[in-house]
Amino acid sequence: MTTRPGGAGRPPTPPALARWLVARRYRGEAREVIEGDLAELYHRALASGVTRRAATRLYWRLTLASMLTPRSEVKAEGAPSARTGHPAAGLQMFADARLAGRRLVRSPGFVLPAILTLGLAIGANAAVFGVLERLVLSPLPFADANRLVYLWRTNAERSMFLTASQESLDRWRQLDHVFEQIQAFESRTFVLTGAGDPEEISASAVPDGLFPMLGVAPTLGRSFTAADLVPASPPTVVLGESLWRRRFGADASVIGRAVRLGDESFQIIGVMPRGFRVPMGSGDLWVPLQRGRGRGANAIGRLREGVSVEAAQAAVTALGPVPSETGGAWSGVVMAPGDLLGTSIRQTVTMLTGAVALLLLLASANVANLVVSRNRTRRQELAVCAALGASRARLARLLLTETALVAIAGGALGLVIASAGLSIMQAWRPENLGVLDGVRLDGAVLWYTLAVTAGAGILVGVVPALRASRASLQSTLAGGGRAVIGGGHFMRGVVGATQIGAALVLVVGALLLTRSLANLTSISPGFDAENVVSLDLPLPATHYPGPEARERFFTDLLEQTRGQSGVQSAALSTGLPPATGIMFGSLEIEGAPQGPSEPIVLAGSSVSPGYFATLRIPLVAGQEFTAEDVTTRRLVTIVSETFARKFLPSGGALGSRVRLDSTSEFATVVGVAADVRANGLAESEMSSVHVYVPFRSSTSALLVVRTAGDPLLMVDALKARVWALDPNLAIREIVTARERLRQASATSRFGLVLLGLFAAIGLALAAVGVFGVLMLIVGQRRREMAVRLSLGATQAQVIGRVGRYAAWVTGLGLALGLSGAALLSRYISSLLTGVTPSDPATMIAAVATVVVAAALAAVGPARRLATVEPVEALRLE
Amino acid sequence: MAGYLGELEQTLLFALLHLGDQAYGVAIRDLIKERTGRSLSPGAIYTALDRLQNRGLVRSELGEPTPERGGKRKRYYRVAPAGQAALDRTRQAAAAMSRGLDARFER
Repeated sequence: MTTRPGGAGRPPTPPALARWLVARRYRGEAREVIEGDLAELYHRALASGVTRRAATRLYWRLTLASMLTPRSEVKAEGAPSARTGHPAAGLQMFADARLAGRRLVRSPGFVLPAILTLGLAIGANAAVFGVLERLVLSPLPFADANRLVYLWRTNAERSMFLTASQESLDRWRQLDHVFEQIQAFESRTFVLTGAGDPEEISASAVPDGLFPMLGVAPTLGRSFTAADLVPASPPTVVLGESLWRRRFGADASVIGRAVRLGDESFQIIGVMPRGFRVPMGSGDLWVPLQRGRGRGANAIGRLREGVSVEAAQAAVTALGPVPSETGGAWSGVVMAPGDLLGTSIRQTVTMLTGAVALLLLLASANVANLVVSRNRTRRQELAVCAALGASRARLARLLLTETALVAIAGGALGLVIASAGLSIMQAWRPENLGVLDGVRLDGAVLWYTLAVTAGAGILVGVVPALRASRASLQSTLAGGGRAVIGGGHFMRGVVGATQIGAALVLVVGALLLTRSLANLTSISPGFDAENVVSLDLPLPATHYPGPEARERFFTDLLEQTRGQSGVQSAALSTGLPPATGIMFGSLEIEGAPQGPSEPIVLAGSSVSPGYFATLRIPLVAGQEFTAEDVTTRRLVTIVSETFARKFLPSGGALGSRVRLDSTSEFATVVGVAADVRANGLAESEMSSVHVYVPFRSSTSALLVVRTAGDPLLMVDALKARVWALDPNLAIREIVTARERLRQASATSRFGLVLLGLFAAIGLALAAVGVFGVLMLIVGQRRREMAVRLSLGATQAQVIGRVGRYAAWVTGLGLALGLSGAALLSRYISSLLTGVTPSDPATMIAAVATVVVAAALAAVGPARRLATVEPVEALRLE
Repeated sequence: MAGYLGELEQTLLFALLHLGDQAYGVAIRDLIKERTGRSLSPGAIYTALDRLQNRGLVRSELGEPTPERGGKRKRYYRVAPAGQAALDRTRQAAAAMSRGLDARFER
């Protein structure tokens, strides 16, 4: 298009695209006449001196106006109504959609099950993907989060990790080309006093550059500046949103107010946005990092653009290890946040992702069957349409529009179900999966849902549409469709078998997890967990400046607690099974030839006399610590059976001398205790290697109490005892031993509940699928069977034919399912305790379940079959 | 069979009467535009005339192609007797209804 009228070169012609549009709308002679009129108007305009561009615009305007003319409808009398038909063919898609919508509304028997089935499956997929995304794929909700990494020190075998030392930080920061910046922060705890119970809050002491590196700014007030970091400047604090809401009533005027943390007064300068937490750090309270405590800091670094985690790791490793004061050499390790997730959580989520994918397959197969059945009943209608001139493409488009609408509705319902499901999951989640709270239906999940919906729509709609649009009028009206046997049955049988196979895989998974969980909870924890409760008591340094003050408090508390009525025994400890705490160092046995080992980590706690009696852990040799051991500060230790077996000479455990630190003295073994499972209940030999030292004056301890009756009834009395000694002491946690054990298996239980749910749904879907296929066959073959019956076949023979069909479908399905389960189960083998993935008993149980479900599904069709009368052979359809 | 006419149909029939045997798409459009200021698209005109033809109120025949129509033929329309009758009836009805209201409508 040029702007010069009658430009040089070719004579102007009307725009081809507009002409094409006219051709879409008008056919044959109408098209010719209208095109002619439009062309005439175009050329006339040009001849009258209008620019070519203006003429083209005129052409377009008139073309579009012609497109929007309502289709002519022949009416018996009077003027054509304004409501005639739909807008022009160019907007055919909307016309199709409205038509399809009207048709669907008229058949709720098809639409409701289809939307519900798809909605369930799509919803499950969306919810699980949300969890996958938040936990595994992009766990940090910060800008450019994929460039954030954690930095630690590790030993040679990578079995142990330490926070970063100042020296390491300095060395890493020199890798200018790898790291854009590295920010280090330390953890602190403060006791918030004032309105309400004294509350202990985990906080982080952060540098002024941390929040900017994460790209998060406060919603109220300001963040820290370099001035706040100067030790002499007045103490400032930034609040987290939930703490601000909970303790300060979401009052915007807190900025500038003072708050008491421990013994000091801090000025509140800002509030961070909702949900913000420093990775590996606090989400509630932040103070400026004025003075490092020298005990190591958490380091978060931002990689330079284009630097991969592997490259960063290589650069850090190339720096070489650094020997530390406590022995052993430590080198740097760089980890992406997604890798941090406990393996079991990660695998659980992966397993669930696979499960819901299977579920979607099952659901799609069912809905596809529904669509095929529906298309069958409209066979004649479609054939007539075809005979009247509708092209195959047109018919297919119409049918696809219907399934597309169903899929979209299913997707929308799926989002609703996913949202509700996530809320329920977040309300019922186990304690240690707090990370699930951050799962939302955000952008990534919505896109994924859209993709899944589109996929389902295609799966469900394409094949049926292609087949149904092949409708041939002649064969249909002649009743030829009924004569078809075989062919379609085979494909449908295969689909049915796939459904049975998928359901079998789900059921096997659920049963394996169930057995595993049963094993987990039946493994004896090594102590008597009934009627035991613990109170977690951290002593703030401000009130208890030295070991004597702490010792005094704990001694008094223990004595008074023991004297309390209802208390059978009490003790102090720094850890309780299964989270007993750890110790690490280079183990050395006095007199042993091999000398100190590489740094190892093992379970370890400090316990007071009476600990083993309180928990009823038997001592297989020697005795408990005595009060004298404590007061004389004798270097003694008690070890677990496995420790003695692994490291000490047999028969000579008592009296051996061991140490974990080459700078300290050897301690004498005075007792050997039965094993308790530590740090999770999974089987692992190292988790039973346990070292106990006498409790002296730790900064924090658990008061462990065995009560005569229900421990929860004693809780108030125990709390009062504590506060009688120190009214400002915050009690961090009160939990029974039974509850602790429950929490340890929480992740497994959580995964099992979800998988069980999906397996149940999958089984139901498969049963419905089998039912549908069998009903279809029975319906199709009724005439055939009626003919056979009238020709002398017995009912048994007739039913036998269908029975054989059902048998081969089920058999194929079971075979598919078993091989599928065998292939996939090695992926969940690490989630299982005490049962192998190919456990025969489980397989048999699963097969039995699926067969029963399939049999139940076959009852209906079988009964229908039994009612076939020979006289039906004579009836017209 | 005739009944009453919608107002677009009336307008078209009037135009056909004015144009005689030169009544085809572009000419009809121009006349209506000139007299009433109303701009009709070729598609609208053709569709409405087609409807009238189906009802037997107009007749048509194909004409010759011309270069400025890009080689496309035109269709000429004439008012059929039934159409004339319908137009009369409609006009009389309008006149009957509006009698006595002349003062309200400016000339």
